[in-house]
Amino acid sequence: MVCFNMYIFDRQGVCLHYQEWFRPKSVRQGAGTLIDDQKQMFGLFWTLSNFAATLDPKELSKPPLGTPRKIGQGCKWHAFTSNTYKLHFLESPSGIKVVLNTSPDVGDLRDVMSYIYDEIFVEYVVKNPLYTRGTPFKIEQFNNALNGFLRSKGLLQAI
Amino acid sequence: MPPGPRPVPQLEQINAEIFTLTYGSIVRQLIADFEDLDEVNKQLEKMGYNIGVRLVDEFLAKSKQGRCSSFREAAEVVARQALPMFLNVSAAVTNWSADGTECSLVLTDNPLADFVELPDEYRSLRYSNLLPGVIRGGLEMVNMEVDCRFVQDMLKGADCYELRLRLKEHKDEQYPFKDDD
Repeated sequence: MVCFNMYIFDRQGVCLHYQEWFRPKSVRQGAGTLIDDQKQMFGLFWTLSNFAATLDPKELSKPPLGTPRKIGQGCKWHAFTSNTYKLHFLESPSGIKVVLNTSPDVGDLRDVMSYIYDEIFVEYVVKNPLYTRGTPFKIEQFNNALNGFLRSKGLLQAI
Repeated sequence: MPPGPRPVPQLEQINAEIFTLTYGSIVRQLIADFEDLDEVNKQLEKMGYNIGVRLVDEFLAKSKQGRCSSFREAAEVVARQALPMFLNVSAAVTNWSADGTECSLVLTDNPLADFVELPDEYRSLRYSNLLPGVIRGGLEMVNMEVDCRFVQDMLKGADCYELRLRLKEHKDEQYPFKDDD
């Protein structure tokens, strides 16, 4: 069970944090630059959330695809899997999106994602008096807490 | 971690008197710095706004609150969960307007203004103006633009604290990048 990389976005699409543990295919082969890669990711979530809300079979009123949504409206998707990786997603009502790419065999990481948001992001980033909201951050304690937590969950084993 | 629902993380506690006295000294210092009471009111609201935009993430994390489906529900959450969690006061939501965009939050006590007496020359000072700012900042982060102000203040002789909360706009999510980028 391995973590590949992690992104944290805010509502404005600014990538507040990007961390990679294992990414053999370089960014240049994919999107080109890191900024483009992050924008692509953000666009992906945007579209997927709209799509998931429109395709929801239990939803009584079906807004057509493309209508502006209020945040969190409609159903929420939380992961998708391919044969090589699994992408986990968490969106808070305040617009903070946490994305984690892992190997496909990890199971349901919703608890892990909400722990990352509640106890690591809020504790070390939001409560940090030197951090301005809406800007990318590099906070040592956040990285340490995150690595420690993921290690304790067994998600940072070497390949 | 044991399986099953996680225990709700504990909020750190602070002595209420320290909180009240710290707030009082902030207001005192603002009056000394600005001297104009309207300016002090604005600064308090702005400080409250800055607090609110950060506090909302902590509130969402600690209370595991999902999305509120309407302004009515959001007002209830603010009064029933947020205010007790952070200030240990309970509030009631009353006086809904006909179209559901305005309501009153009524508080019976206010820890910001404990032990405070307002002299006559400071009658235009809104002593607890931090609180409407916090509510405005917090709700703006969940895409609800509101206007919040005190309409009744116990420091000025009323029998309760009443905040009037008015929804200006419930915004939709907007894609922040231009399509041709």
